[in-house]
Amino acid sequence: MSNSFTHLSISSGYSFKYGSAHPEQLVERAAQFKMTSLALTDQNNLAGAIRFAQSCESFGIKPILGITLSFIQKSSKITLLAKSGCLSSLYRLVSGINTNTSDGVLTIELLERFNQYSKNLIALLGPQSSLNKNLTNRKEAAALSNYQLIKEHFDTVAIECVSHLERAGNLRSTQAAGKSLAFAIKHQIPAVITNQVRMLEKSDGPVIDVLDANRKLSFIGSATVERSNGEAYLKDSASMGYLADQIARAAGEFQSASRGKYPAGARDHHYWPIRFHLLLPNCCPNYRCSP
Amino acid sequence: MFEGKLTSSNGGNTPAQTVISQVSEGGEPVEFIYNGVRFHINEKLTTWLQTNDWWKKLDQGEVKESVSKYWQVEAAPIGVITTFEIEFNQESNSWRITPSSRVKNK
Repeated sequence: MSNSFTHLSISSGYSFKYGSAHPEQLVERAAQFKMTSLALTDQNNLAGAIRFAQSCESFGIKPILGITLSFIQKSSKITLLAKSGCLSSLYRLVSGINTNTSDGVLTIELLERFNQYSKNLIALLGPQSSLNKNLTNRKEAAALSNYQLIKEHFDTVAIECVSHLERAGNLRSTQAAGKSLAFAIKHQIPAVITNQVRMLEKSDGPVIDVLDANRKLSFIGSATVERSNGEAYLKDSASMGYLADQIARAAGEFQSASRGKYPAGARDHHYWPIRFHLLLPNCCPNYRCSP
Repeated sequence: MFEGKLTSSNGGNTPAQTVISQVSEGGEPVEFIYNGVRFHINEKLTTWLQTNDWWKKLDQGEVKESVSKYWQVEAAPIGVITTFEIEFNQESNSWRITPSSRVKNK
């Protein structure tokens, strides 16, 4: 199945008060979509890893294990994935973080200390990374120094482009994803597309709203609801291919605008090189890791 | 610039006199009537998906979530965009403008 997509960012129910689906359900759905590999990147813990790996085995899917952590600040996130054969490095780094901090926040100091482990990991910087916050605030130089600061601590650092088809200006809009892709191309940083999955079905959105409100110890309302729509579900390969097209087009518009010499209609001219830069994760064997 | 909304829910901010008069095969809006004037959509700037505030309307504990697709479009009243032929005569350095119909088959 050469055209199958690999989801690299998935929060299951083991992401407490965040994800809504069991790892088994997610694996079963991926198998229905004929996906050949699947990642689990729960928030701040690896508790779902064994169940996830076991169900992957029973469905003949290659498991990729990872974790999503707070990085430097509580609010800024980084996703780490174990390279093939290097799962122990992920566990050792996470143990190192948990035994040396009270809040589980990864810092540069910890990265320097546990460098021999982080060197075997792949890091993804997504919409909630400080890099992306700087990009949103048009601080491109600061975003680039965010990247350079951590580049040498990991095997690979990739920019994660996520579109939940939200309104322009939102964190997970196609425009924002396109902006980060254009940045990645400009500075020759690898870029991947993920869907930051939090649920199995499109219709599970209200469950996510309850979890968000619960985590914030508040009532459900506009202030606690984080999502705009029900797009953070496990999408099939065709839907992810569609998003990749949309994000690549948006990135083309940013490139054209910054060069100032291409009219809007000329954006498709740049489209294919951009689309190829955006790795659909199945194209890249580096991103396939087994425990 | 107007924000067209196809699935007109009973939300209060939907303009009362808005009618989508033409939709493409793919379900995309093409023309609409706004305050009695027919508009043709020239360019779709952005689209997005947004769910309703389901927690505000809970009927007997049943959760009903609905999703709307939005288009932000640039549209002009029909008849406003006209095709012209502009001629520049290089001998006399003079300009001439005449209304024209579009050439469909080259």
